[in-house]
Amino acid sequence: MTARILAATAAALTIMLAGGCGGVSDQTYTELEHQRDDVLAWARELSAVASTTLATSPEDATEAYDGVAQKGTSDNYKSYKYDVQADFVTEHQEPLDALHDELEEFSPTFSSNSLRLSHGDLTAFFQIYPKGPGKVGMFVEGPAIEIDQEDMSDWDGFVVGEPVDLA
Amino acid sequence: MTITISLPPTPNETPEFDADGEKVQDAGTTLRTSSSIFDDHGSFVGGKAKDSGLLDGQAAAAYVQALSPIGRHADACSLALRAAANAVLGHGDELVDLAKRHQQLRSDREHLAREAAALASRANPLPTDEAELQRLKADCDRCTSQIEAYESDLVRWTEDLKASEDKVTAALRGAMTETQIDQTYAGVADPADAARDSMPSGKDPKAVKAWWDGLTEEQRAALIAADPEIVGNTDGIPAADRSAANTVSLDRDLAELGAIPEDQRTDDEQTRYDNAKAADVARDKIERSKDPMTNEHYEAQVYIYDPMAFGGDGRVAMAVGDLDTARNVSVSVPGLTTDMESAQSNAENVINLHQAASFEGGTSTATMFWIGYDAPSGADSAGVATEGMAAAGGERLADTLDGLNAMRSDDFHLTAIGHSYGSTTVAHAMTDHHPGADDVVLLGSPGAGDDADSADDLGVGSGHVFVGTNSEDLVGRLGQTGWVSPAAIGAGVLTGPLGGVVAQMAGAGLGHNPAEDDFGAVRFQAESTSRGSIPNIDDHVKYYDHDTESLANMAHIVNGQYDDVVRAGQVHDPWYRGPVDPESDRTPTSPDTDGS
Repeated sequence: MTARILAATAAALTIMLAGGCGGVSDQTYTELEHQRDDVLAWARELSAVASTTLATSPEDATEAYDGVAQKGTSDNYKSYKYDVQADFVTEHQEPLDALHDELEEFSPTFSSNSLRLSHGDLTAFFQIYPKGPGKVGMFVEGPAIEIDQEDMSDWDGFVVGEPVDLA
Repeated sequence: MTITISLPPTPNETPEFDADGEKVQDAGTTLRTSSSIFDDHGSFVGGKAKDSGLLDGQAAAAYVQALSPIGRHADACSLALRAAANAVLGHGDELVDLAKRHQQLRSDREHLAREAAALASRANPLPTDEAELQRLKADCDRCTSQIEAYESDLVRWTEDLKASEDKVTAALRGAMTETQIDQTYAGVADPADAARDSMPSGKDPKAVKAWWDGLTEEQRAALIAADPEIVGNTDGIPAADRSAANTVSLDRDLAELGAIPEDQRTDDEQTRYDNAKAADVARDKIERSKDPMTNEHYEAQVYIYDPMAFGGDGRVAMAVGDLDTARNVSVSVPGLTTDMESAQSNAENVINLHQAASFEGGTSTATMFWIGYDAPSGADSAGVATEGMAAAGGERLADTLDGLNAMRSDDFHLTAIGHSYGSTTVAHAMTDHHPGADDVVLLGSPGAGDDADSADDLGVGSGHVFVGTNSEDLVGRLGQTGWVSPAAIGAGVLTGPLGGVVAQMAGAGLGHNPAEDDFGAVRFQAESTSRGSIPNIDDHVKYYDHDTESLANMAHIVNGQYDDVVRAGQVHDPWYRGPVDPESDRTPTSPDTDGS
């Protein structure tokens, strides 16, 4: 029995060590801010195109830093990405096709109910909803940036679901 | 024969209506939180501080003389704020309903205006054919009748809006000055007091439910504001009421502790504040997320909020969807290193599961994460080596599952899902306490606990015990297998750099490996397209990721779509070598789980 407990404790330690250690530099926060600026700029560009193409304006636009990868078996995040989401209510019958034609510079590809785009290391997609006709969702996000959850939670720039202006 | 045709009138315009009922509800919630804060102050000054035993004799008398009026005033303010909160919350509910009716009226009006215009075109010039004239007359009469019904609905809607506004205005004017507040509320008995006194002493959730149902609406609202810790965390009380109470507690912690400068908070205050912030982020994540089929925002229900439980690790459970009414309900139990600060990622897990369930056809679902036990974390991580915390957690989980069953009077479908050490906890809940779950899902399980030799021991039937184990998940290899464990054979039998470590660890887990054929559960496909080539930790934390086999299969289980669950071959342990996992040779797939 003692051997079992020792072995299992070793397993627990292995798992804990796989989680790694935290620590963050000012450079990381600068990187997070830059990503926010880049994503917001592209989201505004896409929003302008969507507004014209779909003859509407963005609604319910929000911003957030969302957790991406977890630390080992830990439930805490070790990286985050900045993202913006918004809705467009439109009477356009084929909104994704129309957006595809207007956004060719961003290498659009269809995937299930969505139209995926890329812009450097940023990605975006427009999505339609089988039970929500007339609605088009827009999601724009950056790549994962390594930062410990605790450091992220303590950062003044950390937001989850705050309204954002796409004008 | 003369045919008289009356063209339908143009329907009256639907008035503009941009009131945001949800924001009014938020304002009501804030007022209720304020009421709770005043109630705390009143109780402290009038009760706890006075009865602390620190003062006696003349000092105690002076205290009562000086501070009792303040306590009474705080209690009066609490009651006044509660009355205002109830009025504003009721107005918010009514505005949400009025907004839905307004949308319908506007849609009806557009349709009827188009139809009236079309009929006018058909009548100019009038048809010469009598049959056509009869059809036109019938269509005009029908349209006129519909417009009259629309106008009648519009009048009723306008009256209801005015009545709602009048009601909330009267309630808010009831106590405008501090003097009026004291005149109206000072010394008035709090309806929460009598309600609290009648609460059953035991923790039988059915008795609690009967007690709660027997209270008046005023008493329930009073208890939510005055005793949110009790209402929010007592099994048997409906989830919506628990959530309203926990929202009061959570918002109160954020407001009160957030107002204290960080360097002036005590350690306990800092812990409570950190846990409150973690719960707040989880709530925000849920409420920002949307259903992939309708694009409608999700609502969060805070089912448990107890930030100082387990020495500051905290307890929290939060649901996506309505636990009181959803046809399918799931409870996800996390494992190793889980504490309240893990609420963020656990919220994401249940958001993903809800989205996948909806995408796979589920129309009435609530998915809850449950950080309701003292999981191995921080200083007590070595607890993973034993089953003690899983067994204790199993008892708490069983209480929660019993509570869900007690608060519902209908026959809903309940799935208990455990990940990692949480799977051992779920297994203990099922084998030791037999709560009323319909299905059990064990993910990345280090073992199903020493009390379960086979899936049948979990008490739901082996066909309802589902196991998802990625073949390269290191933790999923910890459970005991076969007639002789690799540990007995010795290190080195398994291949790969971690083989020796795994061999040493295998058999030292937390009971039987539920993915093994001898256990007799239903194993479903849970490989990942980014699966590692050797046993690793990363493959232990992908089960809830979108576009994975495991999430798609879990969604089917939660929906009760058993035929759609894609089965996997079970782990087999031949006598001449270590365990063989047929899934390790299969190319993983990436099913779409959210349409994006």
